[in-house]
Amino acid sequence: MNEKNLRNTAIITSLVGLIILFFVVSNLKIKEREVSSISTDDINNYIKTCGEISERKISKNGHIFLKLKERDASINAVIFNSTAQKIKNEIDPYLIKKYDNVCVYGKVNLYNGNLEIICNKVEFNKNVP
Amino acid sequence: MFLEILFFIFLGITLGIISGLLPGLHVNTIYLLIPLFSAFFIDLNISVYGLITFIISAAITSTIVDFIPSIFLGAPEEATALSVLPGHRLLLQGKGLEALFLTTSGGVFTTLLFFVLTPLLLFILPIIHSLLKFYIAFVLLVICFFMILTEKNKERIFFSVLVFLLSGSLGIITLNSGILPENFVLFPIFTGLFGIPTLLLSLKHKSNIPPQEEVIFNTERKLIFSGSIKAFFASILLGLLPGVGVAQATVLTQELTKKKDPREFLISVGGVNTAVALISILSLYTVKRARSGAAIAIRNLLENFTIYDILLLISVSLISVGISAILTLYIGNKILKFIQKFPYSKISLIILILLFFLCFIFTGLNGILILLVSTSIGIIAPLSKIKRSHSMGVLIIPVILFYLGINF
Repeated sequence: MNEKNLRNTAIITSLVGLIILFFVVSNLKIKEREVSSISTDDINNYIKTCGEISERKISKNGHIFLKLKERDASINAVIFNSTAQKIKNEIDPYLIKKYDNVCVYGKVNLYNGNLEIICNKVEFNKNVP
Repeated sequence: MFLEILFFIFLGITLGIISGLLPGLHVNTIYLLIPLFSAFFIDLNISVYGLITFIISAAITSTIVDFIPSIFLGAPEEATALSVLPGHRLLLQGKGLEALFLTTSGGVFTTLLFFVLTPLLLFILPIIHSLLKFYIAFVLLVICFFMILTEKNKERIFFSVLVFLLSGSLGIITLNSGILPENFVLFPIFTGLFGIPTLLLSLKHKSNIPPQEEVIFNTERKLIFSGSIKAFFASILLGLLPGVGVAQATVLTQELTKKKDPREFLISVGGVNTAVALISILSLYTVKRARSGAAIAIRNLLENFTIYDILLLISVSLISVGISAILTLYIGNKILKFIQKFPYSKISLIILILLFFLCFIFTGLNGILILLVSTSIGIIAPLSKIKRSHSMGVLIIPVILFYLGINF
Protein backbone atom coordinates (compact mmCIF):
# COMPACT_ATOMS: atom_id res chain seq x y z
CA MET A 1 0.00 0.00 0.00
CA ASN A 2 1.44 3.40 -0.96
CA GLU A 3 0.25 7.00 -1.02
CA LYS A 4 -1.53 6.54 -4.35
CA ASN A 5 -3.43 3.49 -3.07
CA LEU A 6 -4.43 5.36 0.06
CA ARG A 7 -5.58 8.35 -1.99
CA ASN A 8 -7.71 6.08 -4.21
CA THR A 9 -9.17 4.35 -1.16
CA ALA A 10 -9.94 7.76 0.37
CA ILE A 11 -11.71 8.90 -2.81
CA ILE A 12 -13.80 5.70 -2.98
CA THR A 13 -14.59 6.06 0.75
CA SER A 14 -15.86 9.60 0.19
CA LEU A 15 -17.96 8.53 -2.81
CA VAL A 16 -19.57 5.69 -0.84
CA GLY A 17 -20.34 8.22 1.89
CA LEU A 18 -21.91 10.60 -0.64
CA ILE A 19 -24.15 7.86 -2.05
CA ILE A 20 -25.34 6.83 1.42
CA LEU A 21 -25.91 10.47 2.35
CA PHE A 22 -28.01 11.02 -0.76
CA PHE A 23 -30.44 8.28 0.28
CA VAL A 24 -30.40 9.10 4.01
CA VAL A 25 -31.18 12.80 3.74
CA SER A 26 -34.85 12.34 2.81
CA ASN A 27 -35.43 10.24 5.95
CA LEU A 28 -33.92 12.60 8.51
CA LYS A 29 -36.61 13.76 10.87
CA ILE A 30 -36.72 15.93 13.91
CA LYS A 31 -38.42 14.63 17.06
CA GLU A 32 -42.15 15.39 17.00
CA ARG A 33 -43.69 16.50 20.30
CA GLU A 34 -47.21 17.28 21.46
CA VAL A 35 -47.60 20.86 22.66
CA SER A 36 -48.64 19.65 26.12
CA SER A 37 -45.47 17.56 26.49
CA ILE A 38 -43.00 20.38 25.80
CA SER A 39 -41.24 21.32 29.04
CA THR A 40 -38.14 23.11 30.31
CA ASP A 41 -36.25 19.86 29.65
CA ASP A 42 -36.63 20.67 25.96
CA ILE A 43 -34.84 24.02 26.18
CA ASN A 44 -32.20 24.20 23.43
CA ASN A 45 -33.61 21.06 21.75
CA TYR A 46 -34.88 21.13 18.17
CA ILE A 47 -38.40 19.77 17.85
CA LYS A 48 -41.45 19.63 15.60
CA THR A 49 -44.89 20.32 17.05
CA CYS A 50 -48.32 20.80 15.51
CA GLY A 51 -51.43 22.69 16.57
CA GLU A 52 -54.00 25.34 15.76
CA ILE A 53 -53.09 29.02 15.58
CA SER A 54 -55.02 30.74 18.37
CA GLU A 55 -53.21 34.10 18.16
CA ARG A 56 -51.19 35.77 15.45
CA LYS A 57 -49.32 39.09 15.53
CA ILE A 58 -46.84 40.70 13.17
CA SER A 59 -44.45 43.29 14.58
CA LYS A 60 -43.31 46.45 12.80
CA ASN A 61 -40.04 44.65 12.03
CA GLY A 62 -41.87 41.86 10.26
CA HIS A 63 -41.41 39.24 13.01
CA ILE A 64 -44.39 36.88 13.28
CA PHE A 65 -45.59 35.90 16.75
CA LEU A 66 -47.91 32.90 16.95
CA LYS A 67 -49.68 31.05 19.72
CA LEU A 68 -50.01 27.38 18.93
CA LYS A 69 -52.84 25.54 20.68
CA GLU A 70 -53.45 21.84 21.02
CA ARG A 71 -56.40 20.81 23.21
CA ASP A 72 -55.83 22.69 26.51
CA ALA A 73 -52.13 23.34 26.04
CA SER A 74 -50.49 26.18 24.14
CA ILE A 75 -47.02 27.47 23.34
CA ASN A 76 -45.67 30.64 21.75
CA ALA A 77 -43.78 30.46 18.50
CA VAL A 78 -41.83 33.17 16.73
CA ILE A 79 -40.79 33.39 13.11
CA PHE A 80 -38.19 36.10 12.72
CA ASN A 81 -38.44 38.31 9.66
CA SER A 82 -35.16 36.99 8.24
CA THR A 83 -36.42 33.40 8.56
CA ALA A 84 -39.79 34.33 7.05
CA GLN A 85 -38.06 35.78 3.99
CA LYS A 86 -35.98 32.66 3.53
CA ILE A 87 -38.83 30.15 3.77
CA LYS A 88 -41.21 32.22 1.65
CA ASN A 89 -40.66 29.98 -1.37
CA GLU A 90 -41.96 26.93 0.50
CA ILE A 91 -44.72 28.59 2.51
CA ASP A 92 -45.38 32.28 3.03
CA PRO A 93 -45.62 32.56 6.82
CA TYR A 94 -47.32 35.98 6.53
CA LEU A 95 -50.32 34.18 5.02
CA ILE A 96 -50.82 32.01 8.10
CA LYS A 97 -54.15 32.93 9.71
CA LYS A 98 -55.87 32.35 13.00
CA TYR A 99 -57.40 28.81 13.23
CA ASP A 100 -54.96 27.43 10.65
CA ASN A 101 -53.51 24.04 11.60
CA VAL A 102 -49.75 24.14 11.22
CA CYS A 103 -46.62 22.28 12.21
CA VAL A 104 -43.57 24.29 13.29
CA TYR A 105 -39.93 23.18 13.48
CA GLY A 106 -37.45 24.97 15.67
CA LYS A 107 -35.54 25.33 18.87
CA VAL A 108 -37.22 25.54 22.26
CA ASN A 109 -36.25 28.67 24.11
CA LEU A 110 -37.11 30.34 27.42
CA TYR A 111 -38.20 33.95 27.01
CA ASN A 112 -39.45 36.05 29.94
CA GLY A 113 -40.10 32.87 31.91
CA ASN A 114 -42.24 31.28 29.17
CA LEU A 115 -41.34 28.55 26.74
CA GLU A 116 -41.36 29.47 23.07
CA ILE A 117 -40.24 27.94 19.81
CA ILE A 118 -37.91 29.88 17.54
CA CYS A 119 -39.09 28.55 14.20
CA ASN A 120 -36.90 27.79 11.23
CA LYS A 121 -39.60 26.00 9.23
CA VAL A 122 -43.41 26.01 9.11
CA GLU A 123 -45.81 23.83 7.17
CA PHE A 124 -49.56 23.30 7.06
CA ASN A 125 -50.58 20.21 8.99
CA LYS A 126 -51.48 17.67 6.31
CA ASN A 127 -53.17 15.39 8.85
CA VAL A 128 -55.89 17.96 9.58
CA PRO A 129 -58.43 18.70 6.83
CA MET B 1 -31.03 19.63 2.40
CA PHE B 2 -28.43 17.47 0.63
CA LEU B 3 -26.47 20.55 -0.47
CA GLU B 4 -26.83 22.14 2.96
CA ILE B 5 -25.37 19.03 4.59
CA LEU B 6 -22.53 18.95 2.06
CA PHE B 7 -21.76 22.59 2.86
CA PHE B 8 -21.58 21.77 6.56
CA ILE B 9 -19.34 18.78 5.90
CA PHE B 10 -16.82 21.07 4.19
CA LEU B 11 -17.19 23.66 6.96
CA GLY B 12 -16.59 20.94 9.56
CA ILE B 13 -13.54 19.65 7.67
CA THR B 14 -12.11 23.19 7.59
CA LEU B 15 -12.62 23.58 11.32
CA GLY B 16 -11.23 20.11 11.98
CA ILE B 17 -8.05 20.96 10.04
CA ILE B 18 -7.58 24.24 11.94
CA SER B 19 -8.16 22.65 15.35
CA GLY B 20 -6.03 19.64 14.40
CA LEU B 21 -3.09 21.77 13.31
CA LEU B 22 -3.09 24.16 16.26
CA PRO B 23 -1.60 22.48 19.31
CA GLY B 24 -3.90 22.97 22.27
CA LEU B 25 -7.03 23.95 20.37
CA HIS B 26 -9.21 20.89 20.80
CA VAL B 27 -12.28 20.62 18.65
CA ASN B 28 -14.35 20.13 21.85
CA THR B 29 -13.52 23.70 22.81
CA ILE B 30 -15.14 24.90 19.60
CA TYR B 31 -18.31 22.87 20.27
CA LEU B 32 -18.73 24.98 23.39
CA LEU B 33 -19.35 27.94 21.12
CA ILE B 34 -22.27 26.33 19.26
CA PRO B 35 -24.96 27.09 21.87
CA LEU B 36 -23.70 30.69 22.04
CA PHE B 37 -24.29 31.10 18.31
CA SER B 38 -27.47 29.02 18.07
CA ALA B 39 -29.70 32.07 17.68
CA PHE B 40 -27.46 33.19 14.83
CA PHE B 41 -27.69 29.74 13.23
CA ILE B 42 -31.48 29.75 13.52
CA ASP B 43 -31.58 33.21 12.03
CA LEU B 44 -29.68 31.81 9.06
CA ASN B 45 -32.32 29.08 8.81
CA ILE B 46 -29.78 26.34 9.40
CA SER B 47 -31.36 23.00 10.21
CA VAL B 48 -30.35 20.95 13.21
CA TYR B 49 -28.92 18.35 10.84
CA GLY B 50 -26.62 20.99 9.36
CA LEU B 51 -25.17 21.55 12.84
CA ILE B 52 -24.90 17.83 13.58
CA THR B 53 -23.12 17.26 10.27
CA PHE B 54 -20.74 20.09 11.11
CA ILE B 55 -19.93 18.54 14.51
CA ILE B 56 -19.34 15.04 13.13
CA SER B 57 -17.14 16.15 10.23
CA ALA B 58 -15.08 18.49 12.47
CA ALA B 59 -14.60 15.71 15.05
CA ILE B 60 -13.58 13.09 12.48
CA THR B 61 -11.26 15.42 10.56
CA SER B 62 -9.43 16.55 13.68
CA THR B 63 -8.72 12.90 14.61
CA ILE B 64 -6.85 12.51 11.31
CA VAL B 65 -5.08 15.91 11.22
CA ASP B 66 -4.14 15.79 14.95
CA PHE B 67 -1.13 13.66 14.08
CA ILE B 68 0.63 16.40 12.11
CA PRO B 69 1.64 18.44 15.21
CA SER B 70 1.93 15.25 17.24
CA ILE B 71 4.47 13.58 14.94
CA PHE B 72 6.27 16.59 13.42
CA LEU B 73 6.31 18.95 16.37
CA GLY B 74 5.97 16.69 19.39
CA ALA B 75 2.88 18.59 20.52
CA PRO B 76 0.20 15.99 21.18
CA GLU B 77 -3.28 15.94 22.65
CA GLU B 78 -4.64 13.20 24.87
CA ALA B 79 -5.50 10.87 22.03
CA THR B 80 -2.30 11.31 20.04
CA ALA B 81 0.09 11.34 22.98
CA LEU B 82 1.44 7.85 22.36
CA SER B 83 2.16 8.54 18.72
CA VAL B 84 4.84 11.05 19.69
CA LEU B 85 7.60 8.58 20.40
CA PRO B 86 7.30 6.12 17.47
CA GLY B 87 6.30 9.01 15.19
CA HIS B 88 9.39 10.95 16.20
CA ARG B 89 11.55 7.90 15.75
CA LEU B 90 10.45 7.62 12.12
CA LEU B 91 10.85 11.39 11.70
CA LEU B 92 14.46 11.16 12.86
CA GLN B 93 15.01 8.35 10.36
CA GLY B 94 13.82 10.64 7.56
CA LYS B 95 10.43 8.93 7.45
CA GLY B 96 8.15 11.57 8.97
CA LEU B 97 5.76 11.42 6.04
CA GLU B 98 5.57 7.65 6.37
CA ALA B 99 4.60 8.03 10.03
CA LEU B 100 1.79 10.37 8.99
CA PHE B 101 0.82 8.01 6.18
CA LEU B 102 0.51 5.16 8.70
CA THR B 103 -1.71 7.04 11.17
CA THR B 104 -3.85 8.32 8.27
CA SER B 105 -4.17 4.81 6.82
CA GLY B 106 -5.26 3.57 10.23
CA GLY B 107 -7.95 6.29 10.33
CA VAL B 108 -9.29 5.47 6.85
CA PHE B 109 -9.33 1.69 7.16
CA THR B 110 -10.74 1.63 10.67
CA THR B 111 -13.56 3.91 9.49
CA LEU B 112 -14.25 1.46 6.65
CA LEU B 113 -14.36 -1.37 9.20
CA PHE B 114 -16.74 0.71 11.31
CA PHE B 115 -18.94 1.15 8.23
CA VAL B 116 -19.03 -2.60 7.54
CA LEU B 117 -19.39 -3.72 11.16
CA THR B 118 -21.87 -1.15 12.49
CA PRO B 119 -24.73 -3.72 12.55
CA LEU B 120 -22.54 -5.94 14.76
CA LEU B 121 -21.72 -2.97 17.02
CA LEU B 122 -25.40 -2.11 17.40
CA PHE B 123 -25.93 -5.64 18.65
CA ILE B 124 -22.89 -6.21 20.90
CA LEU B 125 -22.24 -2.78 22.46
CA PRO B 126 -25.38 -2.78 24.66
CA ILE B 127 -24.67 -6.40 25.75
CA ILE B 128 -21.03 -5.73 26.68
CA HIS B 129 -22.00 -2.47 28.38
CA SER B 130 -24.65 -4.14 30.53
CA LEU B 131 -22.15 -6.86 31.53
CA LEU B 132 -19.32 -4.44 32.29
CA LYS B 133 -21.03 -1.56 33.99
CA PHE B 134 -20.93 -3.07 37.50
CA TYR B 135 -17.26 -4.06 37.24
CA ILE B 136 -15.74 -0.98 35.61
CA ALA B 137 -13.41 -0.13 38.54
CA PHE B 138 -12.21 -3.73 38.75
CA VAL B 139 -11.59 -4.00 34.99
CA LEU B 140 -9.67 -0.71 35.02
CA LEU B 141 -7.51 -1.91 37.92
CA VAL B 142 -6.69 -5.13 36.07
CA ILE B 143 -5.74 -3.13 32.96
CA CYS B 144 -3.45 -0.87 35.02
CA PHE B 145 -1.68 -3.82 36.68
CA PHE B 146 -1.28 -5.45 33.30
CA MET B 147 0.20 -2.28 31.80
CA ILE B 148 2.70 -1.93 34.65
CA LEU B 149 3.74 -5.59 34.50
CA THR B 150 4.57 -5.26 30.81
CA GLU B 151 7.73 -3.38 31.88
CA LYS B 152 9.34 -6.71 32.93
CA ASN B 153 12.13 -5.20 35.06
CA LYS B 154 12.03 -4.30 38.78
CA GLU B 155 13.47 -0.83 38.34
CA ARG B 156 11.15 0.00 35.45
CA ILE B 157 8.15 -1.42 37.31
CA PHE B 158 9.03 0.84 40.26
CA PHE B 159 9.16 3.92 38.03
CA SER B 160 5.97 2.87 36.25
CA VAL B 161 4.12 2.67 39.56
CA LEU B 162 5.63 6.01 40.59
CA VAL B 163 4.56 7.75 37.36
CA PHE B 164 1.12 6.14 37.51
CA LEU B 165 0.53 7.24 41.12
CA LEU B 166 1.99 10.74 40.65
CA SER B 167 -0.08 11.38 37.54
CA GLY B 168 -3.13 9.93 39.29
CA SER B 169 -2.59 12.35 42.19
CA LEU B 170 -2.33 15.18 39.68
CA GLY B 171 -5.66 14.07 38.19
CA ILE B 172 -7.36 13.88 41.59
CA ILE B 173 -6.13 17.36 42.50
CA THR B 174 -6.91 19.09 39.21
CA LEU B 175 -9.82 17.40 37.42
CA ASN B 176 -12.71 18.10 39.76
CA SER B 177 -11.23 20.92 41.79
CA GLY B 178 -12.57 23.73 39.61
CA ILE B 179 -9.03 25.10 39.44
CA LEU B 180 -9.62 25.38 35.68
CA PRO B 181 -12.79 25.10 33.57
CA GLU B 182 -13.54 21.45 32.70
CA ASN B 183 -12.92 21.93 28.99
CA PHE B 184 -9.50 23.48 29.38
CA VAL B 185 -7.96 21.54 32.24
CA LEU B 186 -6.76 18.67 30.03
CA PHE B 187 -4.73 21.00 27.82
CA PRO B 188 -1.94 21.84 30.33
CA ILE B 189 -2.07 18.31 31.75
CA PHE B 190 -1.50 16.48 28.47
CA THR B 191 0.84 19.09 27.06
CA GLY B 192 2.95 18.72 30.20
CA LEU B 193 2.77 14.93 30.48
CA PHE B 194 3.46 14.14 26.83
CA GLY B 195 4.35 17.18 24.72
CA ILE B 196 6.86 19.29 26.65
CA PRO B 197 9.09 16.35 27.74
CA THR B 198 9.59 15.35 24.08
CA LEU B 199 10.45 18.91 23.12
CA LEU B 200 12.81 19.36 26.09
CA LEU B 201 14.64 16.14 25.27
CA SER B 202 14.99 17.11 21.61
CA LEU B 203 16.45 20.44 22.79
CA LYS B 204 18.84 18.61 25.12
CA HIS B 205 19.99 16.21 22.42
CA LYS B 206 20.07 19.00 19.84
CA SER B 207 18.33 16.66 17.43
CA ASN B 208 17.86 17.82 13.88
CA ILE B 209 15.36 16.65 11.34
CA PRO B 210 17.33 14.72 8.75
CA PRO B 211 16.39 15.04 5.05
CA GLN B 212 12.99 13.46 4.66
CA GLU B 213 11.98 10.88 2.08
CA GLU B 214 9.44 12.37 -0.29
CA VAL B 215 8.41 9.25 -2.12
CA ILE B 216 6.19 6.91 -0.25
CA PHE B 217 7.35 3.54 0.46
CA ASN B 218 5.16 0.54 0.30
CA THR B 219 3.60 -0.61 3.52
CA GLU B 220 2.38 -4.19 3.51
CA ARG B 221 -1.40 -4.34 3.20
CA LYS B 222 -1.41 -7.08 5.85
CA LEU B 223 0.13 -4.67 8.37
CA ILE B 224 -2.47 -1.98 7.63
CA PHE B 225 -5.34 -4.45 7.90
CA SER B 226 -4.10 -6.04 11.12
CA GLY B 227 -3.40 -2.61 12.66
CA SER B 228 -6.86 -1.40 11.68
CA ILE B 229 -8.62 -4.51 12.99
CA LYS B 230 -6.80 -4.17 16.33
CA ALA B 231 -7.70 -0.49 16.41
CA PHE B 232 -11.34 -1.31 15.81
CA PHE B 233 -11.58 -3.79 18.69
CA ALA B 234 -9.51 -1.55 20.96
CA SER B 235 -11.95 1.28 20.31
CA ILE B 236 -14.87 -0.93 21.39
CA LEU B 237 -13.10 -1.35 24.73
CA LEU B 238 -12.48 2.36 24.87
CA GLY B 239 -16.05 3.20 23.97
CA LEU B 240 -17.27 1.27 27.00
CA LEU B 241 -14.62 1.98 29.62
CA PRO B 242 -14.46 5.53 30.91
CA GLY B 243 -10.98 6.81 31.67
CA VAL B 244 -9.19 4.44 29.32
CA GLY B 245 -7.57 6.66 26.72
CA VAL B 246 -6.71 5.98 23.12
CA ALA B 247 -3.18 5.27 24.35
CA GLN B 248 -4.14 2.46 26.75
CA ALA B 249 -6.54 0.88 24.34
CA THR B 250 -3.83 0.70 21.69
CA VAL B 251 -1.01 -0.47 23.96
CA LEU B 252 -3.25 -3.07 25.53
CA THR B 253 -4.26 -4.44 22.17
CA GLN B 254 -0.65 -4.51 21.00
CA GLU B 255 0.45 -6.28 24.18
CA LEU B 256 -2.36 -8.81 24.02
CA THR B 257 -1.50 -9.67 20.44
CA LYS B 258 2.23 -9.71 21.24
CA LYS B 259 3.22 -7.54 18.30
CA LYS B 260 5.17 -4.37 18.83
CA ASP B 261 5.98 -3.19 15.33
CA PRO B 262 6.11 0.63 15.59
CA ARG B 263 4.50 0.90 12.14
CA GLU B 264 1.57 -1.25 13.15
CA PHE B 265 1.42 0.71 16.39
CA LEU B 266 1.05 4.00 14.47
CA ILE B 267 -1.67 2.47 12.25
CA SER B 268 -3.51 1.33 15.38
CA VAL B 269 -3.19 4.70 17.16
CA GLY B 270 -4.50 6.46 14.05
CA GLY B 271 -7.34 3.97 13.77
CA VAL B 272 -8.31 4.05 17.43
CA ASN B 273 -8.34 7.84 17.45
CA THR B 274 -10.91 7.98 14.64
CA ALA B 275 -12.92 4.91 15.69
CA VAL B 276 -13.28 6.21 19.23
CA ALA B 277 -14.82 9.42 17.90
CA LEU B 278 -17.26 7.30 15.87
CA ILE B 279 -18.13 4.86 18.66
CA SER B 280 -18.61 7.65 21.19
CA ILE B 281 -21.30 9.13 18.92
CA LEU B 282 -22.77 5.69 18.21
CA SER B 283 -23.06 5.20 21.99
CA LEU B 284 -25.83 7.83 21.90
CA TYR B 285 -27.92 5.15 20.20
CA THR B 286 -26.56 1.91 21.67
CA VAL B 287 -26.14 2.73 25.37
CA LYS B 288 -27.77 6.18 25.46
CA ARG B 289 -24.58 7.78 26.78
CA ALA B 290 -22.45 10.62 25.47
CA ARG B 291 -18.77 9.66 25.66
CA SER B 292 -17.17 12.67 23.96
CA GLY B 293 -17.52 16.40 23.46
CA ALA B 294 -18.99 15.80 20.00
CA ALA B 295 -21.55 13.33 21.38
CA ILE B 296 -22.59 15.80 24.10
CA ALA B 297 -23.01 18.57 21.52
CA ILE B 298 -25.15 16.27 19.32
CA ARG B 299 -27.25 15.14 22.28
CA ASN B 300 -28.01 18.79 23.02
CA LEU B 301 -29.35 19.22 19.50
CA LEU B 302 -31.16 15.95 19.00
CA GLU B 303 -33.17 14.30 21.71
CA ASN B 304 -33.46 10.88 20.13
CA PHE B 305 -30.67 9.40 18.08
CA THR B 306 -32.41 7.18 15.51
CA ILE B 307 -31.24 4.61 12.97
CA TYR B 308 -31.32 7.32 10.27
CA ASP B 309 -29.02 9.43 12.41
CA ILE B 310 -26.60 6.48 12.50
CA LEU B 311 -26.69 6.35 8.70
CA LEU B 312 -26.02 10.10 8.67
CA LEU B 313 -23.07 9.51 11.05
CA ILE B 314 -21.69 6.79 8.77
CA SER B 315 -22.07 8.77 5.55
CA VAL B 316 -20.63 12.00 6.96
CA SER B 317 -17.73 10.06 8.54
CA LEU B 318 -16.87 8.33 5.28
CA ILE B 319 -16.90 11.61 3.34
CA SER B 320 -14.91 13.47 6.03
CA VAL B 321 -12.34 10.71 6.50
CA GLY B 322 -11.76 10.40 2.75
CA ILE B 323 -11.28 14.12 2.16
CA SER B 324 -9.30 14.78 5.32
CA ALA B 325 -6.94 11.85 4.62
CA ILE B 326 -5.98 13.37 1.26
CA LEU B 327 -5.64 16.85 2.76
CA THR B 328 -3.64 15.59 5.75
CA LEU B 329 -0.96 14.01 3.57
CA TYR B 330 -0.84 17.11 1.37
CA ILE B 331 -0.61 19.57 4.29
CA GLY B 332 1.77 17.27 6.18
CA ASN B 333 4.11 17.17 3.19
CA LYS B 334 4.15 20.98 2.97
CA ILE B 335 4.73 21.41 6.72
CA LEU B 336 7.51 18.83 6.69
CA LYS B 337 9.30 20.67 3.87
CA PHE B 338 8.88 23.92 5.76
CA ILE B 339 10.26 22.70 9.08
CA GLN B 340 13.27 21.05 7.40
CA LYS B 341 14.53 24.50 6.44
CA PHE B 342 15.05 25.40 10.09
CA PRO B 343 17.19 23.79 12.82
CA TYR B 344 14.88 21.46 14.70
CA SER B 345 16.07 22.73 18.07
CA LYS B 346 14.86 26.20 17.08
CA ILE B 347 11.50 24.79 16.00
CA SER B 348 11.26 22.86 19.28
CA LEU B 349 12.03 26.05 21.17
CA ILE B 350 9.39 28.01 19.21
CA ILE B 351 6.81 25.26 19.81
CA LEU B 352 7.73 25.21 23.51
CA ILE B 353 7.20 28.97 23.76
CA LEU B 354 3.97 28.67 21.71
CA LEU B 355 2.63 25.95 24.01
CA PHE B 356 3.42 28.00 27.11
CA PHE B 357 1.81 31.04 25.47
CA LEU B 358 -1.34 29.13 24.44
CA CYS B 359 -1.50 27.57 27.89
CA PHE B 360 -1.34 31.00 29.49
CA ILE B 361 -3.98 32.41 27.11
CA PHE B 362 -6.42 29.52 27.61
CA THR B 363 -5.76 28.69 31.26
CA GLY B 364 -3.87 31.56 32.92
CA LEU B 365 -1.36 31.20 35.74
CA ASN B 366 -3.15 28.19 37.23
CA GLY B 367 -2.73 26.44 33.90
CA ILE B 368 0.98 27.27 33.82
CA LEU B 369 1.36 25.79 37.31
CA ILE B 370 -0.38 22.58 36.20
CA LEU B 371 1.78 22.54 33.06
CA LEU B 372 4.99 22.71 35.12
CA VAL B 373 3.88 19.97 37.51
CA SER B 374 2.70 17.67 34.74
CA THR B 375 5.94 18.27 32.79
CA SER B 376 7.93 17.19 35.88
CA ILE B 377 5.91 13.97 36.05
CA GLY B 378 5.86 13.44 32.29
CA ILE B 379 9.62 13.62 31.86
CA ILE B 380 10.19 10.72 34.30
CA ALA B 381 8.92 8.19 31.72
CA PRO B 382 11.36 8.92 28.87
CA LEU B 383 14.26 9.36 31.31
CA SER B 384 13.48 5.99 32.96
CA LYS B 385 12.80 4.36 29.56
CA ILE B 386 9.30 3.24 30.54
CA LYS B 387 6.06 3.59 28.60
CA ARG B 388 4.59 7.06 28.65
CA SER B 389 1.10 5.58 28.83
CA HIS B 390 1.55 5.13 32.60
CA SER B 391 1.00 8.88 32.82
CA MET B 392 -2.59 8.19 31.81
CA GLY B 393 -3.10 7.44 35.51
CA VAL B 394 -4.11 11.10 35.50
CA LEU B 395 -7.51 10.00 34.15
CA ILE B 396 -7.69 6.36 35.19
CA ILE B 397 -7.13 6.77 38.94
CA PRO B 398 -9.88 9.42 39.35
CA VAL B 399 -12.27 7.22 37.32
CA ILE B 400 -11.46 4.13 39.44
CA LEU B 401 -12.07 6.14 42.61
CA PHE B 402 -15.33 7.48 41.20
CA TYR B 403 -16.61 3.98 40.42
CA LEU B 404 -15.54 2.79 43.88
CA GLY B 405 -17.70 5.55 45.30
CA ILE B 406 -14.76 7.58 46.62
CA ASN B 407 -15.19 11.24 45.74
CA PHE B 408 -12.80 14.07 46.50
